[in-house]
Amino acid sequence: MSAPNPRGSALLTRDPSVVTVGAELLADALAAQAVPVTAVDWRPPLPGTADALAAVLADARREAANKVAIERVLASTPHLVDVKPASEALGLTAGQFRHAGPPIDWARASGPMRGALIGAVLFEGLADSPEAAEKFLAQGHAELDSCHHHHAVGPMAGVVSPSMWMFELEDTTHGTRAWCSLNEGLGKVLRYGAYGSEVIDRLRWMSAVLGPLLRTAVRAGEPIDIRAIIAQMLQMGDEGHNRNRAGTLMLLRELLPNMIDSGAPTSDIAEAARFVGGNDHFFLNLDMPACKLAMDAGRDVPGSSLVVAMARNGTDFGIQVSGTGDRWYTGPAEVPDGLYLGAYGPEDANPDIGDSAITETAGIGGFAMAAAPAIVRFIGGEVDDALAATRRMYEITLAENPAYQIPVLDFRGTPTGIDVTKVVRTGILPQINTGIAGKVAGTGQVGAGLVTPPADCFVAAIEALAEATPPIG
Amino acid sequence: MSSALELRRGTYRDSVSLMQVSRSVSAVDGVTKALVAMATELNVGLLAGMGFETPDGAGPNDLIVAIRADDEDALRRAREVLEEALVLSTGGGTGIGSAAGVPPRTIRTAAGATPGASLALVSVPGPHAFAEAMDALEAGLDVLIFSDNVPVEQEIRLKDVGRERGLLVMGPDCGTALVGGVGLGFANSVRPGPIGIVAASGTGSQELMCLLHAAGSGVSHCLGVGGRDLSEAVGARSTLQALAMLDADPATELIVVVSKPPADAVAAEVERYAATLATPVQLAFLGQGRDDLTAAATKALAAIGHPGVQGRVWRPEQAAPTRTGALRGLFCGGTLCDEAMIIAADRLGPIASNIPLRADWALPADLHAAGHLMIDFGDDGLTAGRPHPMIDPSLRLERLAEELADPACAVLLLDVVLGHGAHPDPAADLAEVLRAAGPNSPTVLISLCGTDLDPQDLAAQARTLTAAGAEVHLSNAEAARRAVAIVEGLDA
Amino acid sequence: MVDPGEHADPVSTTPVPGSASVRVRAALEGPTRPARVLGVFPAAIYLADPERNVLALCTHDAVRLPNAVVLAARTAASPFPALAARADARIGDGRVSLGALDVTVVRWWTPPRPPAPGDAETVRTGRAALRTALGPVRTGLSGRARADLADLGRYAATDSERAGAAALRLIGLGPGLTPSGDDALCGFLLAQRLLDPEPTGGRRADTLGARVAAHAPGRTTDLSAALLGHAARGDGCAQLVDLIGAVGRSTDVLPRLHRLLTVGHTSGADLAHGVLAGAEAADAGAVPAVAAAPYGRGDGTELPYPEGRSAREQRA
Repeated sequence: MSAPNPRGSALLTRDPSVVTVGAELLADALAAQAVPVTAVDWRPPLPGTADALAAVLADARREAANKVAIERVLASTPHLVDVKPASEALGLTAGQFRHAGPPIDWARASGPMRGALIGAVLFEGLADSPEAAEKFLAQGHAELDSCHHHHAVGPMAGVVSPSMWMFELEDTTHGTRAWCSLNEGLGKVLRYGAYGSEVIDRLRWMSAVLGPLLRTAVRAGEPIDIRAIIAQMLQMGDEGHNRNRAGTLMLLRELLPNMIDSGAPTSDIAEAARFVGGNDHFFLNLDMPACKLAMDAGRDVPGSSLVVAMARNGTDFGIQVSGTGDRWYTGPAEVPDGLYLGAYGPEDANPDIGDSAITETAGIGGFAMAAAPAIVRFIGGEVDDALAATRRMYEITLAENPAYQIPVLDFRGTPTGIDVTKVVRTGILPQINTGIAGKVAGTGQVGAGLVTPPADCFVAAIEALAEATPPIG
Repeated sequence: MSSALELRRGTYRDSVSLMQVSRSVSAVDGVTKALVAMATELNVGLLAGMGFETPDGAGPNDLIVAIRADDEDALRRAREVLEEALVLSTGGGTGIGSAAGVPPRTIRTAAGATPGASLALVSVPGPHAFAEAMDALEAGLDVLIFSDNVPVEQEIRLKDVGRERGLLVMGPDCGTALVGGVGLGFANSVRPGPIGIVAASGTGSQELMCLLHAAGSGVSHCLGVGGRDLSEAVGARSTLQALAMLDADPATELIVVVSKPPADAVAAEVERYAATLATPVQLAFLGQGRDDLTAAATKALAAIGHPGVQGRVWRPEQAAPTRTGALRGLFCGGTLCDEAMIIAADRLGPIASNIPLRADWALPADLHAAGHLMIDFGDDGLTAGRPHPMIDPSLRLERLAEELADPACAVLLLDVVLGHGAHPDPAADLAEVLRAAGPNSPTVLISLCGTDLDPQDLAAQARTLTAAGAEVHLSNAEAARRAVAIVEGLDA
Repeated sequence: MVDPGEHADPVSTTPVPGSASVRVRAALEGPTRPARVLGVFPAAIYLADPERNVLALCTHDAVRLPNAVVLAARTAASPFPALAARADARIGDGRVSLGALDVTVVRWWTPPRPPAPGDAETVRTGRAALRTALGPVRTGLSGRARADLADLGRYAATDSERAGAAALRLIGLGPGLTPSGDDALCGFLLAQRLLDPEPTGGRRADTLGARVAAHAPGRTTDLSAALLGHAARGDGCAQLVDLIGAVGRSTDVLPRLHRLLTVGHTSGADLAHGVLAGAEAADAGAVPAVAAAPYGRGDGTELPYPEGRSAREQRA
């Protein structure tokens, strides 16, 4: 038996100040003795998880493992280093496609996922009509896999084909890379499942003009520090998921001089500048791979209950956890609650879709809602709701990111690193800001709003973590 | 003259917080000039004005730190202030940035929002207590787990983590503690004094503290460890930890350990460790053939040179005639019930109980038997899904009414426990039932565990009970002995 | 509409529990008497009874003076009413009331004492660490006051007349509720008593303390005079006692100093300068190692507090 060790205890030397959880009577008895009491608003954990939760919390590796994992996440330094076609970036060959969320096949794919795949098949010239493209896909000629399995992320349907151009980011701390496609803008766009001719034409222009121009500009300068831009945009009213206006303009500020110096036709440069500057979401496709790099840095720490990915394919919502490798824990994706464009309504909405929840996984987006009061009405709420939403996320996260600060919360760091045990204990689900895709293939965006993952993902994850724990005692 | 110039790449701070950082650094004695700013064109210009060269490749996303000071010492102090100020500039814990208005949902969050918090008190249902207690330890708080039904392997894990971190885990199933004059859980108000207590028994420690107080002495701290701490499995983990803490406490001159007799190996370990301490330790292991709590209190008082316990009795104005028959004990406190059974069994033989001294004396499920019996209404089996009888007396009051009407019952022995956490006026309900009893009812003896400083006021409670015809003893052991004497017909 | 001013209810009071220092037990448990409000601040209200016993009614996170009655509320909760300075105040029968604020003492706390100091060499090392750390710290003491403090440190062990004169010159020196000179003197008295490994240190501190305590009333604010009285008996706030403990054991001097410096505007620094001088005095006293009769040190036995029995105990 080892010797007792009371060195950390202030119990007998300090006037008691007590945190209570449970019976109110006992808290009242303390208050009556002039003791400061902070009472916890306790609720039971998600149903059926008590044993698994206790097993995971008792895992002697957990605290240190989570510390290691979250420190790696916070240490990540994403830089934009190149722009290149997916054939080079991901090594994609004809007939290979990547998509958002956990793996899915054509049969289970939702409308917008199907629409985006149809568009990509048309764009790659593998079929000459939407019907032919659909047949091509239904017959299993395309090889589909998750972006997440290839160090990549894609917003909404997240469909990537070999000829599409991608941003290449490097985490200069960990020496890792991640990729994301270029953002097409809003409305009728491939990622929302639209595949009309204007969609395909735009993709062709992006591959022919925008991509090469961006490549020239990026290669001409120093790697661009994406973390520094995110840090600044959070202080300029962006939250990095549904609002990226400041980030987009800061990126343009970095790139434009080199674009002009490139010697490309001024009409191309002007069009590219107009396109980027006119698309408030252009920077989303840099937020996302930056967040992907951060979360990949936290992967594969045995015993860690850190969520390293949240992603949706339009049918399933899936999460991955540091301590259990590449395993997905899935549940049915839910329809977001939000505002709709024009005549669209909830009945037109597809369930939640996209890899963009990587932003919330890394502590921005919905988790930084308090930084973006300008959009709280758009996603249905008042400024107080935004503050409350961010505050609530501190309950389920492991750290506050010192690089990403929220002015209105006294420059408190954003709540970063979702801990499965905390979600299960409190029943507080991560808040995700998201766009809403039309459920019929070819429709495009119908709205934007808020969504949470299904609780089942976290119940499955805590059970798997419990199975992976060594016996206690 | 010393100077320092540093470029921190990719460290963004807003200009206002950096102005504050610059100001803090400039204010350091011996610092002549300081600039802490993002390397924008303007700031790089300022840097040149200070006589520094522009560092290579400095851009608006990089932080520059430039300091000029009288000497190296001042420069070192400036750097210290710089680091501190940079940390402070990232997020405060105050203002609307803190959890203003949002009640915390876990101990972890609550501890973070409570600067200076020293202890967590956990009383959620047993299966959920582990998570909250673990939070407390990880946040650097000592923890008292009031909850019962916590699996023993979780208890061991918590206590191991507590020891690794130098913290004390009181419980699970710790009903009572007294720390720095503050009662936690069920606790009586007692005078500060030289005796420290380590207790595996809640009501046992309450009785001991009340007796010490009544004798004019007092208690420094009472650290509960939970009913299972001295079991073979748990191995006195918290008892040893608590002994070490009390040994280091300047106010504690004597330590008393209150517990049922532990397994031999555990007892030996506790004795061995106690012998290494500078503070004398008295082991009060309660059981057949050993000291009762009153004797243990007297022994402790003698050890510090204080006069012993003086039994205090409040008698009813008109004592009803006694008779012989069965002894029936109805208790809230498990240790008090146990003590009374040990005293009674010594003279009267088998005492049926839901917490029997011997397995073959167990009461049937309906809790009825013809002869002597004692029931602990605070036992887990009778508290599942309902509050402790010290808070909700209804079950015991029902049984009291029934026993009062039983001609076979000669003596009713009850405990009444006062203090924080307990019923605000336990005597009132009891007295009502006692007054409703018919003539020829059994003698009622009450062991009143409390002090004059308790919120309920000891003397007032005793008055209410004697007015209803009960005889009230401060010492549970004395009440039990008196009950035995009446049952044996030895009462004059 | 009824004018609320004309028909205002009598001020309704809700009793608030408080934890009081045992050092002010007698004042609190005497009969209820009117009190004067000496000052109202966000974290504390200072009150004096007719005998000039001073109480600090303070929040839980305030600096805890040895005469404090501590509430559970934190400063951020603004427990003290804005108009308290004009309200009727009363002290006694275990209560402190001030307008609508009615505090009942429900438990007692004891001001902390540091662990016994190490040997003379250890204390010297701790003192050197304090001197270095205190170098750049700004103080509220004037040059004249610093000279008096230096005299006090130099002569406390050898020339009690000269030391006493210097001490009396420091009383009330400087602006504010606790003038800088008084703060320095408090630090000095505590350190001189608590850092001297020899019993004579306690006796010297008693002599000097008694002299200061006798002269302070009327020469400085009532609050400051009361705190000098507590310091003369060996009591100060935890931050001060902790620094003295750190110097005595020569550990953690810098962090403890930093904590003390957060007290008041310059009070922390002034107290620390006092500690430095007091430590010198304690050392100077220790060197000759004059044999002396065993004499209490740091336990306040020479200037006993009137430890009254509680009112409830008396009634019982």
